[in-house]
Amino acid sequence: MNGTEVININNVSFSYGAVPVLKDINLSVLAEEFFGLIGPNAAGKSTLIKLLLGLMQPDAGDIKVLGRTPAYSREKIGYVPQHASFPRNFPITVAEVVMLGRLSGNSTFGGFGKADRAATEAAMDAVEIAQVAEQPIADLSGGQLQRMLIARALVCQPEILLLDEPTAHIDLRAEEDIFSLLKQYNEQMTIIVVSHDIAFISGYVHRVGCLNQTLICHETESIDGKTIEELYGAPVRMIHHAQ
Amino acid sequence: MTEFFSALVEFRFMQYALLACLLAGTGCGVIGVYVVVKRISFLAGGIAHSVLAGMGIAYFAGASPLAGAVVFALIAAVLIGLIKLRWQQEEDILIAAFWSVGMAVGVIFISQTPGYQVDLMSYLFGNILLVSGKDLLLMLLLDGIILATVFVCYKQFLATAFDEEFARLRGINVELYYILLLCLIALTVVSFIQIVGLTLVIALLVLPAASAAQFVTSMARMMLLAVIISLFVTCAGLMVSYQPDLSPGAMMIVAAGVVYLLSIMIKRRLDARAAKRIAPTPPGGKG
Repeated sequence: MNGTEVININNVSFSYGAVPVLKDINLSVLAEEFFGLIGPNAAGKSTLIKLLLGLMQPDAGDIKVLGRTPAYSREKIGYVPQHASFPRNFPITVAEVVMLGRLSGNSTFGGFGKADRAATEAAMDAVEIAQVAEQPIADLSGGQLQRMLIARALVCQPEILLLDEPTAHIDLRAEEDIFSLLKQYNEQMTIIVVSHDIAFISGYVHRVGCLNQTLICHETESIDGKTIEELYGAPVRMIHHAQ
Repeated sequence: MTEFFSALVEFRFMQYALLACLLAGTGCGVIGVYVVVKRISFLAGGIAHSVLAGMGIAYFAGASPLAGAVVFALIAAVLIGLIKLRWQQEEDILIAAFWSVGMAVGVIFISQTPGYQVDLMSYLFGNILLVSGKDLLLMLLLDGIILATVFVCYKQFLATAFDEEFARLRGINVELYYILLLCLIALTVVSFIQIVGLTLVIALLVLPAASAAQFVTSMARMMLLAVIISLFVTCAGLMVSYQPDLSPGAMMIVAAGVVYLLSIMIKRRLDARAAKRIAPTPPGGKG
């Protein structure tokens, strides 16, 4: 971590109609930090992500991403959604999906160029899906689909990688693979990962934010059973990780 | 069949009819793919039917009905697009309103136009044997606009068709491309008015692309196959209808329906065969 602030959330509140979702959230994330965001269902995790991407506006407070508004900076964020927001039977190959991550607001017209193809191949190699590059997305397993989404987010060389429950639909082994991959990428970029699985991610992240309408941050070392109990309102079994 | 080919050699109107099929079929194969993958066939239907208002007004004013159709189709596309983007939950009502109010306006204007009124039926169901050289030029122009736009904006259209949210996050103006796409659909509809009329155009827009979707893994290939299929069904419809003197437009639609049905059946057969090939041998089945 080099100490530059990449995300600043200042007293942000948000509600859907009369239902409050986020209350007085404050958060500062530094460059090259690996930040885990956890919380029970309906705690507002996905809402906070949408605010960070500028897809929704906070009711109160102020958000800065890379020093600008989220909508301005969003092209520098690689985003991996929780649910694929596309039909699985869409006629498109894995390589094409990844390549679409190269688009930007000032992309040229016409087809993709050589640099786009090279970056796509590199991203697919990095997440080890090069062997299915020409297959339609309908043929992918859950783990391969998740890797494809990560490659699509990485291919534009983002400064911040934002992942919403990246391992919700895959088995434990694939989950470990993906997190060790993220750990490597963390040397070049800030990573924020949303999860409901605190025990698992605490072995990877530097800092955990516990969200349940309000946000409380902990250094990973200081997380104990009591913290989790407070968050989930129920006793939780704890697994310790060797670092 | 031989009568068809000798007529083709002999009569200019048959040559024009065949050219019209080739021109309209090309644009429709390409744009139909977007209609199918974005599942907006009824929205396209709403645009198609509301075009009658433009044709009626142009007819009443003594202008070329097809020119009126072009203008009104574009207006309808932009309006439907804008309203849909603002009030997303009422899409079906919006389509119904454009569909029937557009037709009603067209009927009123046509009925108020003095003189011999035969044109309503040919607007609704087309009359391919009356295609003129001027109509062909208009179709060529519309095709050129459609294909050039799709070629130039291929990436952006693909991104917005595939995953709107992600496209928006990449800085693509999703709303702009959506409305542009509706405008292209509107132009495709207009190029078909002379051939099958505005009530039947939806089948030709949707069925060849939906048939192609059974067999391809990329949108570019889907477009190519959809163009081939739509050229086939329009030409086949024209050919089959000639000798028994059936309605060419209606025969094209029936041909498109048959091809779609066949494509589903072939796809199921292929899937079943593939499943059998990879299924493990049942225990005790060997040795």
